[in-house]
Amino acid sequence: MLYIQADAQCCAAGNPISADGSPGGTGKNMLEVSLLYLHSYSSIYYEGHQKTDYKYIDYSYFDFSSLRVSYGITKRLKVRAEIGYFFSKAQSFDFGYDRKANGFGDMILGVQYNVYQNTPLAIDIFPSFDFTLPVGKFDQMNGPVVLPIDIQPSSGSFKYNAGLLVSKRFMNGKFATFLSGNAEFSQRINTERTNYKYGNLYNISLYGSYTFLRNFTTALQVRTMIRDRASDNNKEKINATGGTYLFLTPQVRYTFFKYWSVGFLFEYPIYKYVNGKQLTNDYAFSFRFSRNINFAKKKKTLFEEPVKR
Amino acid sequence: MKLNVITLLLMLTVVSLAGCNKKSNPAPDANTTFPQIISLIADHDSIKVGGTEPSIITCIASGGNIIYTWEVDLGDIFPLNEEGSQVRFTGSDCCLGEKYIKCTAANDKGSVMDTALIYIYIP
Repeated sequence: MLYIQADAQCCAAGNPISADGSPGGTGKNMLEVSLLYLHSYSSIYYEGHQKTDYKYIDYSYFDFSSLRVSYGITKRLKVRAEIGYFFSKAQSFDFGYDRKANGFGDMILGVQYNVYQNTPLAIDIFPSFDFTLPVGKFDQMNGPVVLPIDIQPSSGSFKYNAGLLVSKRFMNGKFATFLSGNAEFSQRINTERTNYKYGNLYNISLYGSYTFLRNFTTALQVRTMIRDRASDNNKEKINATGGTYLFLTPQVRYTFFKYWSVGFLFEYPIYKYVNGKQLTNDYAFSFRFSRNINFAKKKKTLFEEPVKR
Repeated sequence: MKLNVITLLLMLTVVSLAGCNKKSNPAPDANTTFPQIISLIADHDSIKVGGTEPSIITCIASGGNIIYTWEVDLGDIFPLNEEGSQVRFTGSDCCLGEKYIKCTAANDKGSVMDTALIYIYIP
């Protein structure tokens, strides 16, 4: 099974986008446990769609890890849960100051349903819904200073994400194409300390994957990400937030011992348009280590290969 | 099955151990009084967007054993002294307009807060 993941964000708090666009490796009674490591680096300021020499933050990076568990309740219905942890989230400023944060990010609970399955045409449609809970740290300090929202590990906001994935397989599943889209809406953060609303987020991805030598899967994804402007405590739109990005993401996955797999992806932004002047992402890469556990070993599941003797 | 459970536990342990943290409570002090902010002064009440021309803000509080805390909705504050009573404030393009920088002075008797208003503009 293919795994697709899209991660690259410069300055948004909370877990980076790590929604698995693929139907994943879980059939009925199959549990998938995966551990992700993600590194993201940002150092280039853009104004509109052009690079600018403007410098405020010199560079910014984060090292993020997440544990995700997904389980196939039925052949068509999958539930998932994810918790993220930032080992380091750092900003270095052009005028000689640095700051760092670490700690738990957000928790994501989600459900995905195979609403349409056409076996002769090998087409599947999967709507999904994810709910983000800001369980992590949102009050980190730099000495006597409360860190701003963009470097806090948790987003501090409840988020609702609705998505749709359409897949079409060719050559007995060796080659597959996917079209996916999702929209994320954040609830306004309204605490004694913070009053802020993240802009809505929209992602549209098109990708193809090819499996060769039985165990290797390569994929290439093109993703458009559109983020609306955030709004401040007066509910006014903040000018230098939000924008449109186009990412190219090559990735590879190796499956071994039938249920284990390791994947790598590199995400590179090939087009950026930002409102005002903003620090933008240079690149991101991630490793994911996964293990499928079959809780219905006596039964043959949709994703289980027949045992060869 | 045993291997499956071990795998699960191992992955959960890796994530949960990373979040361990210790906190200690300061002992009450008989020599302290309820804190009072004597002054909160910014050397510039309007600053250019960017990092080159900050506003230096100083908060002086009485009461003994004062712990200063600074916060702002949008903008960047960095401490300038160990005591935490003086900070520099700047803002990028995200943070134009009026910004309220809050200084809280606290000790074991309580806390008190005051705000300084700084305006960030594009020249």
